Amino acid sequence: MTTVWPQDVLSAMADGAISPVEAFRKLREMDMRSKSGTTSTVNAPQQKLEDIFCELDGLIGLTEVKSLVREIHAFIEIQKRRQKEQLIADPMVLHMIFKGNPGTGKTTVARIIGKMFREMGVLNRGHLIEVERADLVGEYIGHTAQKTREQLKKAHGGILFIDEAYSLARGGEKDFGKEAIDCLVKVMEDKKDDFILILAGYQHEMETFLQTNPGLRSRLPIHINFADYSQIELMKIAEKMCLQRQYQLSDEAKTLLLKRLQSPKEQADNHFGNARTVRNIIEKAIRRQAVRLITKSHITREELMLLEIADLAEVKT
Amino acid sequence: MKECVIVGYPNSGKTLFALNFASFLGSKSVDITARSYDGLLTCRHLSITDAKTELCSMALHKTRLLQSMVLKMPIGKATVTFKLTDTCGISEQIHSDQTIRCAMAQTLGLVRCADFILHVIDLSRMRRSETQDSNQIDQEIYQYGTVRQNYIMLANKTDLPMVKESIAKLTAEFPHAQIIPISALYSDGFKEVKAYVARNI
Repeated sequence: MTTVWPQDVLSAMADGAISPVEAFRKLREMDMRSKSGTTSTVNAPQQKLEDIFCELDGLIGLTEVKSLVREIHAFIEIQKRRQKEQLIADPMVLHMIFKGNPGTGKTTVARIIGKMFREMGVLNRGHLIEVERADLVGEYIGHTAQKTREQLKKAHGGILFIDEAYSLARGGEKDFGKEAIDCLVKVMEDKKDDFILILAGYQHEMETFLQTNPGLRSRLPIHINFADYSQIELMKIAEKMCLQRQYQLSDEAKTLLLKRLQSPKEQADNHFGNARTVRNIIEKAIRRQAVRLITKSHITREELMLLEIADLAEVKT
Repeated sequence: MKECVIVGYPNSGKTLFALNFASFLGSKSVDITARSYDGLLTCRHLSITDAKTELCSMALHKTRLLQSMVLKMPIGKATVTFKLTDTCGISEQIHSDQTIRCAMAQTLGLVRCADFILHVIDLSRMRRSETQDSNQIDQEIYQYGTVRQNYIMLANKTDLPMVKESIAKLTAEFPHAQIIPISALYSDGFKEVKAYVARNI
């Protein structure tokens, strides 16, 4: 068995093709070779960061978001270098607000940011804890603070992502949601180095939410707007999803899908799920294709891969 | 944050060392992040006593995931944090259980990118094994570590009787390694380990 890359050696070892002793020897040889050529182990964190940026760049659209993430990366890096040179460095408060419709990539970007911060040494663990109102708000007096603190503890060293965060302020003065906000505001300030809070929700609702507690806006210095995808971007997402699942759309199916994927602005529908809707359409079409093919006695490889207009015809957005 | 990886033969005392070392540095409880071969992260908060009961065992291959904890160490006036990662023990032969093979591959993967390596050697095993072949994996870790530098050997189980001659044998077998005799069970020799870690973070 030939192994060219270290990952091949590790896979061969996991598959039982080579013993740990052989794996060690091969890795040592590879490291010796790379040491005489390039320094791969030294640049490991840098390499990981580049991989993370590749992942971010691989997302379709989101131009503004991508440039803002790079801006944050540059800011942190420069602040770190300033600290090294004993210069005054701005305290890094990195709590954020993500504003955008559902399916615009808020959670995906939050996950990438978590990984980026871990590689940069800003966060110890860089994991993402995704919560919503029900995970934070309790049922009786005092229960909310307890539940909120529990979630904050889980998010220690990582990111606490509160989806539909505006719902915390929805119930008015007597609602326990307010207690959760108060608890968050306090912890955001006291433990700003231990975790990052991301509040996400619809643009309009989030603006109203920020007005409910005057301390919130100033404590969340980074605001990222997730614009809706254009029709062409949604089409590219659909093609990417098909490619990942090893399916293809026929030309007629593409035309039909393009008609269906009017952007939310054109549809005037706030509940349009953007990329998530596209995923649902594709998954439904895959199921319909399976129903269409199951009765056939002989199915070719191409047929197994092709999604036709009939598969998409009955799928509703 | 620098990452320190603990490697060694199964049952050499890696997990017990990791937990007692965390306790030696002043932690009463630890957040243990376990990373599986397919990248799944699980985080648990355990007191040192509970962690010892749950994670340490006399049985081979009790640790089957990468188990990391972030520890704080006071250096001068500052407190520096570093990641201490406990790994699945590596044996010479191809293991029949795929989970263990994957865990061993994970260990090797981490050894490649960790900032420094703590190689735990079981002195009682050294005493039992007459031929050099039976210490093959320790030899491999040693050779890999010395090439990488930032490597230290922890000769564990000094609390057991009849291991003194094993330390001499160890020095002869691994001439270029810096060896610290320790007892992971009784936290002996941890002061020297702490000084070494402090120098590297």
